[in-house]
Amino acid sequence: MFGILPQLIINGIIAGALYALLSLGLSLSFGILGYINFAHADFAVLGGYFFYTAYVVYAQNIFVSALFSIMATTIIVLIFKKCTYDPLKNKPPIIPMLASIGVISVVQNFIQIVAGGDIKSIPRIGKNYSFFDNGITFTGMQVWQLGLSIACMMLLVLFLKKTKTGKAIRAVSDNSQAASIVGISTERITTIIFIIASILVAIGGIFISYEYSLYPSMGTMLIVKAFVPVIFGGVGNIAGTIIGAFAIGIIENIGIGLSFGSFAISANYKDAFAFLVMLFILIWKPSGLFGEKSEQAIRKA
Amino acid sequence: MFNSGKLVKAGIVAGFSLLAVAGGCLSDGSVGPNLLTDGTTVKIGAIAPLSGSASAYGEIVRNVTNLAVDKVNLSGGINGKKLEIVFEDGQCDGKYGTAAAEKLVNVDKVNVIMGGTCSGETLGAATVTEPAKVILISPGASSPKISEAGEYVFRTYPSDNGKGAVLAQYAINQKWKKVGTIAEQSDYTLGLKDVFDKGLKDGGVESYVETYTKESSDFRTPLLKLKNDGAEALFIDPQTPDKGLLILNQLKEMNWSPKLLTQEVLGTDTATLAKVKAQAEGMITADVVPPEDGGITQLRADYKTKYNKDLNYESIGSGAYDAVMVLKDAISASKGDVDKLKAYLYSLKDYKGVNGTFGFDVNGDPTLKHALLIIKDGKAVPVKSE
Repeated sequence: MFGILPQLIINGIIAGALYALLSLGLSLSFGILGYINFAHADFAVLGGYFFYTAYVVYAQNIFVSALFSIMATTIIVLIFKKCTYDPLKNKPPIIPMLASIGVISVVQNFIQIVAGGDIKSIPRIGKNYSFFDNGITFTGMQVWQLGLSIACMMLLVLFLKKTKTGKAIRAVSDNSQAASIVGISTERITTIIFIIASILVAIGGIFISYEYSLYPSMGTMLIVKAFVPVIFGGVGNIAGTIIGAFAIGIIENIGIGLSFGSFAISANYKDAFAFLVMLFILIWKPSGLFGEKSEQAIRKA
Repeated sequence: MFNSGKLVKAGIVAGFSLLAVAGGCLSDGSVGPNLLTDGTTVKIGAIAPLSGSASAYGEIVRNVTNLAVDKVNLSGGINGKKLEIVFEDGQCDGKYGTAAAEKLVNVDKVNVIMGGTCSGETLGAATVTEPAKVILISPGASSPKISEAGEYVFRTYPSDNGKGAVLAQYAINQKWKKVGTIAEQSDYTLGLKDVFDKGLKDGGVESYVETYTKESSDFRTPLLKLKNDGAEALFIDPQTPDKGLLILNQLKEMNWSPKLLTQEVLGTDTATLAKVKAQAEGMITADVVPPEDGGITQLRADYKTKYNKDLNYESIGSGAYDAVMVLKDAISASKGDVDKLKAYLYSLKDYKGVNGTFGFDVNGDPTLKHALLIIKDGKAVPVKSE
């Protein structure tokens, strides 16, 4: 029964690292902007397509392609910020949230028109690793994915704790009015948040293109995977969000992987686990396992 | 004393209701325009997946159809009138199939539709065409459910009852004890999976099945489960070739190399097989095999000349070609009358098509057989010719 458990946990950790990259940007922006940017995961998909364009279509070096993807995604996100968030920032949070749903359809249809609706796969590079007589296997790319995701998380925590800008972000997140009274420009902080979130989603998007391949509508499901850890950890709680992302990855893989006698859950229901966790948290501890603010924030949204 | 306003309103409502009922009766009883005598061309509709991943074979259907139409028109059309095809995108999905059929039936007023290419599309379209008494003839849909989709529903590609049985028999002959199946959630793939699964169980083989949704692209956990169940062979049953490619990639990543079985979506897609040549070598599939003397050589050559590409998905392409040519004969023989056309199709016997010699049975299914194929050097070749 537990023969495949170690592999399931590894699959879960690898998926969790990816979800964490998406969740962190969402958590930061939710904490500060006060609304959920539902188009967040679609920007990751866009990042994946930018990477695909540079790496596969124009056959550029992998690092050049990654850099191009990060830059292009950031620019696109900032354009959307200018066009959708900025004009709506003084409206009730429901308005920009609805606008973000509109952005989803713009981004998905844009991808569909430009790149087509078929699945784009990135050619496999690097070797595969296997241990314990194939009991545990993973790819070199997955090692990169895990390592880089953890590095990004650590850098983000250090940035928020140690730098002046990071402290300003936390100040705005705690109380934006008080922060602006002491001379912190909320305008500037918001732009920085968008840039950080774009960099994180673009990196996430590059790994998505390797792990899951790309198709235009994939953001719709990814946003759930990105959003649940935010609820899980408590809004704006970086550590909680990271733990939440890994938890979702592991729970969904174990959920569909283990069978008890003749009882087993089909892989069809994989996505349902994220919803179940969200439901459970919202009923049992609406403020998130590690946070105080999510209930408030959700009510506000 | 009495309220004249109310009476007038009631009268209007009653009048409109009567009109609606009468209109309904009229439209139910009337037959659409005659294919030959009405309009300046012989207009028929077509439904195929023209966008999305399934367009890999939707494109083949469209190209071959256009090629066949050109051929018909160059040789004088049908009774002197040009054949015209209106294409709609069914996206390999039931709801788009329904929408496409609604547009073709209600807006373009066609009473013959060639399509859909996928089973889901075809079943979706049949919900519109059957009550409207519109002929639906599919060049590629193979779900066993289509046999019961209606009396106006035909196909030139045979039911998966045959394909699933041939594949299951192969597994039984190999004396495999445990066989895994990874199938997509769609009408075609689930229909085939059911036949294969039943065939295995009837033959005493343990069958393990995992399914995934159309949106999935991570198959690691279901594959891991099948591996853990001890499956010696794996039947890959995707709706689009992309998903088949992803499954093969992920199998490789997890260092699992079971014996492989698949169906035509992956097994006769030379473009996808070329990407995984080494891994796909020896994979078994089952499909209709166009006989070399039945016009496939000519079709390959014409396709290459017109599109400057090799004909991929030969059995589906041939199905489309045969559908157009059968319709040409049928429209001509029935003088454009839909009910006579239907009767003509049911009475058709020993038609020499590209996919082989066939007629239609009582369910509108062609009397064609499946053969076992093996992938050699990126191409599916008949097992016997090894």
